[in-house]
Amino acid sequence: MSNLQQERNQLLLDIWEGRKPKRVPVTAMVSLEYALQYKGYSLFCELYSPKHCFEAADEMASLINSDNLPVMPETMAAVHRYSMNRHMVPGKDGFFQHPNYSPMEFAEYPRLIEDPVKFWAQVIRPRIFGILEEDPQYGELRLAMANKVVSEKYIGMGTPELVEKYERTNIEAVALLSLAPYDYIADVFRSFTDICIDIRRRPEWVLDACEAMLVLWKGVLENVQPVPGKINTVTLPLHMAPYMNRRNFDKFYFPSFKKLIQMIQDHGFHAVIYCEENWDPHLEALNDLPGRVHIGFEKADPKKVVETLDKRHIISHFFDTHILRSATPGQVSDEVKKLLDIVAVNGNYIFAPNKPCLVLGDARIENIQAMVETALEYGVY
Amino acid sequence: MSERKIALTEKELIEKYKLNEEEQKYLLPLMVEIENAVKRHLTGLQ
Repeated sequence: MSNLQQERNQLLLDIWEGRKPKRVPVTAMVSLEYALQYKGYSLFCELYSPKHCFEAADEMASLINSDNLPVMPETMAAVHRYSMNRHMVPGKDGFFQHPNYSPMEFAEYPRLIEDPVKFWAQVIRPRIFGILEEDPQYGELRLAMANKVVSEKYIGMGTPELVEKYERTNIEAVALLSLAPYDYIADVFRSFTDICIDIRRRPEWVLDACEAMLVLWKGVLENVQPVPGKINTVTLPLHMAPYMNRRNFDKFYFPSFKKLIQMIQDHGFHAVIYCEENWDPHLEALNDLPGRVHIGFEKADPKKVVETLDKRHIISHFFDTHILRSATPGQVSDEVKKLLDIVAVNGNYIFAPNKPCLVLGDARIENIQAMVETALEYGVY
Repeated sequence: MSERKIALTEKELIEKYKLNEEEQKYLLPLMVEIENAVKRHLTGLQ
């Protein structure tokens, strides 16, 4: 391991162990689609070529000097297409979206509550993956083979190779992508719109379903093996809370979410949560989460977060990516400094843009570079 | 519903997935490879 990579790892290790690091760790998040478009590639064509995906991610890493790898070359887009995944559908521009699709009927809540694992595997999965519905006998085999064939294409030209080449941090290992129970019901079983109606029609069903989701996640966590020597994380993007009033948040969202965080920690993992949209009304609740949680914020007020949130937690993100579209690098630099003056005060902040640059129009490359370089220089404690 | 063939041909995959010309360059060969992997697996079991 190079000295630079060791230094980068130490920054994150210090933060996770409650020490103030030498400087703010600086991460950038750029999508593979952005990287492909930057090279003039097509989301209908080269997105399905591991060689081109690797080239595009390599170029972004050469341009963006963040502590993390800014773009991961791996994509399962071909698997989504082959399996006819109704939760991951390409738009007219070839960019995959999660549509507001509800594979579960309202009347099926009791079945979900009774046996969530069986209901998920036998009823919902075939409705999500068209290949399972079309070929009940060999559908699961087809899905497994699709994952195997596509994953193997990235052997030798994936994230590990670029992390080593560009000396980026590798101390964290994402063990699992999870969801808060209420979000999981909204995302996977019902839909964002349906669940808002469900809590009025049969609130007890939604509450019981949230508890059932904990059973499902417990089974998943018991089968995940942590990577030795790494900070093993479970990442949870949080969706629905900003659309809930405090009463509904306290009743439907937070109790099962808090239990899940405890469960994640009990299994030896670190929770990394990302609060989408504005969480200002729910900030105090985050102090009730157990242990040290890495909490990213999209639109919460950074000053309010620093004032409200317990310092044992790690905070990240905040930097508004809108400015990366059309501002000058100098203006970007000024905004980075303004943000760091507010959030880099307790030694528990990791710099990150508030959302990834998804498509080429989202950011000028020189602005991403100015953002990262300024954070690296100005973030020294 | 009619039973799905074990392995679809290139032409059948293009039709089934409505693959445009660009998608036929890299996505189609991946799909063919998946179909063949399934076929090999099932043939090996027999």
